Amino acid sequence: MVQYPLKINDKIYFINSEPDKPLLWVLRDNLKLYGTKYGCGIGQCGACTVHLDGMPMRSCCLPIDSVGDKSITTIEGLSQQSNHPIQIAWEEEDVPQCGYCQAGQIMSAAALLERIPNPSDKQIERAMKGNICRCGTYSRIQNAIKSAAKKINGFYDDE
Amino acid sequence: MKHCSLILSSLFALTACQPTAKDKSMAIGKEIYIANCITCHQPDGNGITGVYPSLLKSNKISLFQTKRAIQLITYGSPFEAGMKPMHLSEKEIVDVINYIQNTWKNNAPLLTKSELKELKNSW
Amino acid sequence: MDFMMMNRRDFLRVGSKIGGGLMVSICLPVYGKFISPNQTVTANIEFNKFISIDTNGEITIMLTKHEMGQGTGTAIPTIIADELDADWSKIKIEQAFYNPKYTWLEMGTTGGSGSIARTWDAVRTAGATTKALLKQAAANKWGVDPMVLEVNNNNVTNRITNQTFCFGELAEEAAKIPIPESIVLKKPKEYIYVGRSVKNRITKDVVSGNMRYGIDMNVPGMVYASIERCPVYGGAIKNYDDTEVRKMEGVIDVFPIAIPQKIKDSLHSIIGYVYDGIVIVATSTWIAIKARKQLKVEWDGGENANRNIVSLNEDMAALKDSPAFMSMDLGDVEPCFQNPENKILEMEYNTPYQTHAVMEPLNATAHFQDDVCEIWVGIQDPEKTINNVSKALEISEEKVKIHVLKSGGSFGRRYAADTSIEAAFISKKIGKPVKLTWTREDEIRNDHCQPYLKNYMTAAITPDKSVAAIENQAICTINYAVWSTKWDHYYAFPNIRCYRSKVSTLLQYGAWRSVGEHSAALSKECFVDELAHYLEKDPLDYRLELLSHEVDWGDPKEMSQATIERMLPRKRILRQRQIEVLSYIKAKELWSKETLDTGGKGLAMMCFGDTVCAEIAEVTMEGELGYSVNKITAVVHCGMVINPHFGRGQIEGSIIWALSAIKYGGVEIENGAIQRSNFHDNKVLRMDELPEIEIIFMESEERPSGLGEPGTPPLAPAVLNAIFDACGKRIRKIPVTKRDLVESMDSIS
Repeated sequence: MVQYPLKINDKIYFINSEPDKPLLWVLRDNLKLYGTKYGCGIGQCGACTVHLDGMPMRSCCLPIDSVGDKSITTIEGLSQQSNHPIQIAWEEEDVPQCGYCQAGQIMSAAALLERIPNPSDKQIERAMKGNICRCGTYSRIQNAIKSAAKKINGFYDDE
Repeated sequence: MKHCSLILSSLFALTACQPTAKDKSMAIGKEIYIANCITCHQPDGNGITGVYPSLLKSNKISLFQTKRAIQLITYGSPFEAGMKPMHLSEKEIVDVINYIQNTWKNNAPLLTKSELKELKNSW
Repeated sequence: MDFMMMNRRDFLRVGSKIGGGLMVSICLPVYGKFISPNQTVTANIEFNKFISIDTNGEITIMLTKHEMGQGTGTAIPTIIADELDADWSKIKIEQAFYNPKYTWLEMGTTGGSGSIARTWDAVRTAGATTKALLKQAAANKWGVDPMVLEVNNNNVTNRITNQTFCFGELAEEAAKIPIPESIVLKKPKEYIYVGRSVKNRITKDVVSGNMRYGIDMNVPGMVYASIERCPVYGGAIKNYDDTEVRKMEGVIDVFPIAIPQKIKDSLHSIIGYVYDGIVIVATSTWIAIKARKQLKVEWDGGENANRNIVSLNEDMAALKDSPAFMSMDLGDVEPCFQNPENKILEMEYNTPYQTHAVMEPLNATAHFQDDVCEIWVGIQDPEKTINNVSKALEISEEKVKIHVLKSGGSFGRRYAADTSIEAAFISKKIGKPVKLTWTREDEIRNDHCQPYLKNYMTAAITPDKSVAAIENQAICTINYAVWSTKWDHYYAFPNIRCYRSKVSTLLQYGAWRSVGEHSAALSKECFVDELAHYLEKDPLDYRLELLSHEVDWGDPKEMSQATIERMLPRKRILRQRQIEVLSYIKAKELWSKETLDTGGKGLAMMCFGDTVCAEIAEVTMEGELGYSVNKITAVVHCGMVINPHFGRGQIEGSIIWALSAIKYGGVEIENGAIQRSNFHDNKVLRMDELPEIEIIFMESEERPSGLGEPGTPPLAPAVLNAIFDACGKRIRKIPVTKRDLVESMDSIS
């Protein structure tokens, strides 16, 4: 066991853990931060996506030992009152069905808008391709990302 | 003389504004890298020591290495704990390889889709 | 329909809420049980506060269904709120704790796309009765006739004096009033929430990360478990060595789980099947999973270890000439097939085993103490789960308590009680609360798969080109009637005969979104398309022609009362809906091929429950698989649509579900074991593969039927028919691979 100081959602936590334990299980089992979901364990489905210094990362594949002093953001810390433009758009579009993959989808989408504030359809598909939804909410996710982008960029359709 | 430098600088601007095929492929490849590869191989391509290999190549990238990259992405590693195949199209594989092979200090010629098909057929 | 026959006072009870207020209890009808008009049903009702209203006006509705993404957790309360004329913002929804004593009979299962269809009358009546009680309470207080009162947005208003009481002020008084003799249900035009896209109640919690599923359960003091299971269905542990595992820091215990044969025989053959395995209990999920790599196990796979898909196919084909059971015999097929002048067309269709890959990996949390086993799990069938857990643990059913939690997608997989039995067994053994998590690999390798169906379709065609008789032989790894084609639901061929046979299964089977209808639809709708092509008729017109008259069901004197009262009227509704859907497609020119530059179009239709769904697929022969599905148009007749946003979501989701199966479905099997393990080899549709999807709901004021599954069955045949249209090749199975397109036989034309 090694003690790791981790910066998660702007708070410092001291975690005793095996060095190879993935961040996902640290969040879920050690810290009971259950918003980040386990889906595949091999970085193929995106359900466990968190931000590491703003970059979308699959926490199921990230050994805690590799995190260092990077700043971790989970769905619980994406915004103060779940009012990130992406979260608001998700509510307006009423995206979720079962909702299980959505934290990962939201984290990937939020990171996308940080890099590309006004993404094209192709850019959205590319950035979201690593996130699987078995309920099939893909078209709603696309709509929500586009509507959030419009708000962030300060223009609205008059139609 | 002044006139001449104006022409020169506008020529420069013209070429700078027109992304090459490689630039285009790399820009798309970067997004694919972020969505599919960045966790293990990391934003700096260095991987995670002892767990995930670095993508940085000290020498010029060989055709064999490109072939191996295509194989790994398409079929995964033969080792049980190794990399799993990625759900990517041939075009996406081309773009992500162009990004990986021309970022950090890597350098390789542009890979095209027809070259990828050729390499696949040569297995 | 059955429900209407019950006397309202037999299933509703009114009482006071503890701490003040009104409480309306309800007993829902027995799932699937036929109640004739003359039968009286005496329900043994205990108070269960189905609807309760506080003195401050807050309304709580108990959710008796399992919310797994289908939206009923919001949709059913909106139906109640509508009849009650309640303020939606004052409605709280609580998951009911499953207790068989409460006779929440309909809560026994969530599935079959039946949550709304089967509770529609009951929940509306409960809402309207509650409103009538509140109205009478106001009338009593003011000393007026209830006729002058109006109910609106949690208030009762006196139209003459304009005085108002809010629901909270009336709750105490309403609790003392007997259930009225008659109540009036709303007409569709009067609905305020039904038919509108009311927002899903779970959305807020989902986007904030506060939504809790079974896998997020946390019981103080709990430990974590993972199980290395036998990869072969029916296999057992030969021997194992846990020396290295026990040395690992964080490992608490290692022991086998192998339910004795005598108990196994008493469990439900599908729901109660538990794979033999080695349990590792640890201080965290991660250690439990990691420790499995240090385990050395040798399995005895039994008979199935020598089988694979090729041998299964041979076993099935061998049954072809000796069918076990005749499931339908209308008219006389024999002479039609013996007549040498008739041409015989025979085709073979295959629908493979399918995995679920539900987003939330399977799990269950259990705490066994003082002889009582408490289980927290997202599950579709708590009733059978309690029964099977009690048998497996050899305790009485009263000692098993199930908390139904939300789940991250179910699609039939969470009917099974396996995770609950495993978690209960582990907790009993170690005497601590335990959370059992399946890895994704476990979920795929030890899935309860969609059964394998091989369906032979034969038609006798007269020289003047009409179908004289049709015969079909369904050979399946399960013996369920739904897996053979119910021709009499569909097309009126003059003579019909159906057989079905069962082959011993290679994999454990279970329910999979749209169950037998998915498999039956592929063979039926592809074969009808082949017939239309052979007869040189348009596939849409040919279907309408086949529906233009009823199937001859034979002598009514020989039919049972249930057939006459229930089955035949239902078949007539289905026939009517199929005609309406196809006529709509024709009228709106959705089937016209003029819009197509390249590629092809395919049509297919299927019924699921009382819902009819037709789909038109547009494909082009391009892309890495050799074909690309570009557009799907779905026309759906499901009676009234309760929530259009949810409805579209269910059909869209069903299409995406089916398209994953068409492109990447099936399983590879070696030595009896599934060779897939995770999303890299058990691929599913991703965002960039999404076709354009257009969904049209037929306008209707008829009672609602289900929407969770009907979108899945027509898709595979629609795509296969479109591929034929595009390139002239008949593919008679899924998944459709590039190799199939190269190798496929030429069409029958």
